[in-house]
Amino acid sequence: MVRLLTWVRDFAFLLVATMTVLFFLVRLAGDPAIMLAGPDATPAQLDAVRHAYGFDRGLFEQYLIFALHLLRLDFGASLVDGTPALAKVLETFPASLYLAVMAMGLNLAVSIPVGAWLGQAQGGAARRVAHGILSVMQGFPGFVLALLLVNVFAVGLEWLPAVGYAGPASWVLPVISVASFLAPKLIRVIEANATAAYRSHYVRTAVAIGAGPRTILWRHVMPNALLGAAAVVGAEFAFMVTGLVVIETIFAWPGIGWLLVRSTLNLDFPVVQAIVFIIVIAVFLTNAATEAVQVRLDPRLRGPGAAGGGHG
Amino acid sequence: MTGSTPQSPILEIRDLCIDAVAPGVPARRLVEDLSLTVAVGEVLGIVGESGSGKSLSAFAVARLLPDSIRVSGGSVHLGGQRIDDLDEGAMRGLRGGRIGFVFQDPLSSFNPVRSIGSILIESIRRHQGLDRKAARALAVEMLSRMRLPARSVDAYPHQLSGGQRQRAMIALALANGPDLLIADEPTTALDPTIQLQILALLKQQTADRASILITHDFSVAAAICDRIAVMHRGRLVETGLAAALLAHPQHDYTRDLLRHARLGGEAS
Repeated sequence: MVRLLTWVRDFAFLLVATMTVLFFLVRLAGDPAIMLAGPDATPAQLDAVRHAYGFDRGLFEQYLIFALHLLRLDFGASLVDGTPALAKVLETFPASLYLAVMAMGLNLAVSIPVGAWLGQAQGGAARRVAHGILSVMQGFPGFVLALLLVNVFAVGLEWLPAVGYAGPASWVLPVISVASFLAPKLIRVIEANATAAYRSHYVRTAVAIGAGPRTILWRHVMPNALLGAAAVVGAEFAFMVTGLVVIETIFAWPGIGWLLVRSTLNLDFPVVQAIVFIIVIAVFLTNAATEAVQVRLDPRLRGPGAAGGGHG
Repeated sequence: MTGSTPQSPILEIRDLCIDAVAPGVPARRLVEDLSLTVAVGEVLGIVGESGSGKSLSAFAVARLLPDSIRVSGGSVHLGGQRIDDLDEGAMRGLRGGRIGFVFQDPLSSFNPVRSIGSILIESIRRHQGLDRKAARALAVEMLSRMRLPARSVDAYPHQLSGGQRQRAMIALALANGPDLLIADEPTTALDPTIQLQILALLKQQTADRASILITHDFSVAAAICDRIAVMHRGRLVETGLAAALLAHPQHDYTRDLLRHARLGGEAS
């Protein structure tokens, strides 16, 4: 109960702080009236626009109005097309979430076995080659790989669509681009944790009870290695739900990253504010889920418990 | 049982040599021509400083050594069968089965994310082929024989005290009724009051099997060992019945160790 209350308090504080900072930041970005009225507008027309949208009021007054509307989850209408800002964001968020979930799925499917393999004995030519590839991938900007993939598979071979969001074929390139950006980091963390686990006393105990290499890897080493990797997985997922701006732009993937770029360029304050609102919630939920997974994986985080009884 | 009837040894180590090997460097000898025997019901203490090769020698029996350390000579027989030339699969059958280990630090020696019971059950099922339910029942029985409550089967290592963890470690070592019990400094990581309990508990489990107690501490060896072997720099310097060796040490190094042990005892 107390845990839930602190959770709600933290969440509320985070939202209020973020939305407040954001409100003042976007108003430093420029005058939306010019955008709205067009480049040929007369000063009188500009004033009329400012008055219509309430931009002529004091900044603090605008903030109070914004805050009151926020309480009702009303972010106002998009300055570009007049549709409700929050609805517009909620329409695009699923696309970002799908991309994040699919990329994380691929990332885990590759990183766990590869990290486990690299964490077993060190040395060997195959492992050196794998390390080399990882180093290159880590130094490779995600968007370069994305453009490379587009060039080869969409433009050159014409196997897959380059852009858009229509059916599984259009998911392949964006998902691979994101996953290949995430995987090297996760592989290295799993490898380092597995290597440390192999040197531990509890693995010696596993050997001493006659466990074979596969049992040692999957039942003794990996539970510990993945425990340390959970924080990285959570951070990577949080990073993705904040919108994969570059990837979504390259692939014209209609997610919140793509919408954020367009709305910022248009000085579409209501939409930007609604996007950030959703991102804050998504990141907060991701962190909470990460914590829950860590508690699930690590009995030490569940407190002393009653199973052992007293000391002595 | 102590030395009453001459028994054929359960464990027989002959001329054992152990080397540290590293690529590009000549092998370095860690243990030289070690020969030891342990009979049923007998507790052999191997005493020496750290680096004397006492733990390596005992672990080498089940080839429980890091990759960088190799057995390079000699032979090991367990119950009359030569085991040092067994392949890895057959050796796995002995580890935890006919040979049980108790390690120094029970906290780091239990997997932090696995319950005590899950490790016990894994070992019991591997060596006795029991189903999950029967293995769990046996795990609970082993723990209660070590005077741990039945619910400790579901406990994680951090939920037990140091003494409880070491008793769980002994339960694990004995779960499959080994012929040979090897305890490596089993009391070093424990409080002095707990040390005596653990030694007494270990002593109770030594009747039907051969046991090796590795320690740097003569008082620990004196408490439960029938015979003592003293090692120094990878060589056996002296071996004899515990009482005789402690009363009349033959070797200078043994005398030195004993003198230091007594000084340490007075100081504490």
